[in-house]
Amino acid sequence: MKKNKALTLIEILVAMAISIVIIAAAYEVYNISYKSYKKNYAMAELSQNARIALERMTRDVRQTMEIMTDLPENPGAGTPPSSITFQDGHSYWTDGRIQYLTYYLSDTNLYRKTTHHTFTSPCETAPASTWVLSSARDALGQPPLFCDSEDKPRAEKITNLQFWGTSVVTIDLTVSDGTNTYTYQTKALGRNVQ
Amino acid sequence: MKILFVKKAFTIIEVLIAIFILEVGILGVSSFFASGFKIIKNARTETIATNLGSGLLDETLANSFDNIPVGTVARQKYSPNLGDPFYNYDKQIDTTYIDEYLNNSVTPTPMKKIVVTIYWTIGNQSKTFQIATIKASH
Repeated sequence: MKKNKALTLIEILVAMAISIVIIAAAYEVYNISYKSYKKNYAMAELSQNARIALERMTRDVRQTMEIMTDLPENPGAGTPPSSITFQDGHSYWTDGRIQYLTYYLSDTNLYRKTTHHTFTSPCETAPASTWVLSSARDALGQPPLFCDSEDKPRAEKITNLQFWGTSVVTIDLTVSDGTNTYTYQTKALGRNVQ
Repeated sequence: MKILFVKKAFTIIEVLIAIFILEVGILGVSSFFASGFKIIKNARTETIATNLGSGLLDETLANSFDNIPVGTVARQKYSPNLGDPFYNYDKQIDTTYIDEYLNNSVTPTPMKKIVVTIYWTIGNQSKTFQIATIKASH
């Protein structure tokens, strides 16, 4: 016959103490892993937002033929604005549409707004063939009507945005999630600016 | 009754080896997070350098063909001000004449190749980013 021998209370307590230590250690490893995963994710997201914002803006600025916003030559020469409006080169070169793009910050979101000007009322439904330059004037010397056709957020977590430079536009932006803050900068030459 | 096997407890050495192996496994997995952190940091500095480099290229291209000097603008700080976010980045611009086969040419040709190099260090590793374009005289 096999004799079943019970565990003593001390043995149980020792076994429990050891397993608690092991479980606590395992949980700690999980916790640290999760925290670093979240931190990595947050940093990657910040980089991603900055990259998208810069790429979209430089792509559009490079094609423009006229920058409407008055920009200081450098930050020392005046306060650089946090928004920029310029004529959309892509729409003009593809199908002749005359419209304007505005990049601006609303809270910490970067918006890209498309605006067109026309003498045909109402502005919202005026066909693209009637769109004119913002500097156009009618027979009475009146400026055209204008309205936005698209206004969408393109990137988030942007806490600071600045534009300066006349022929070459410097775009300077800062992304932050409260913990990490990174600054990016690039320059874009409007290749079609006269 | 026939004894099939003898119940034998683990020795302390066996237990210690087991815990040691477990530890190595756990530490191995957690090192992935450290390298993930490094990779993301690397990617960020690379994005910054790419943007600075293409910006410098655009700035150079804003000049007319004749106003882009041939030669090297020696390596220097992108921004000389300590505390500037781009203080750790260096820039260098090399401009050469190139012939119709895109080979460097000593004698003047109607085409110039502009190469922008951005240098930076991350940890003790030095990195470079290069971007080039060609400008033709009209």
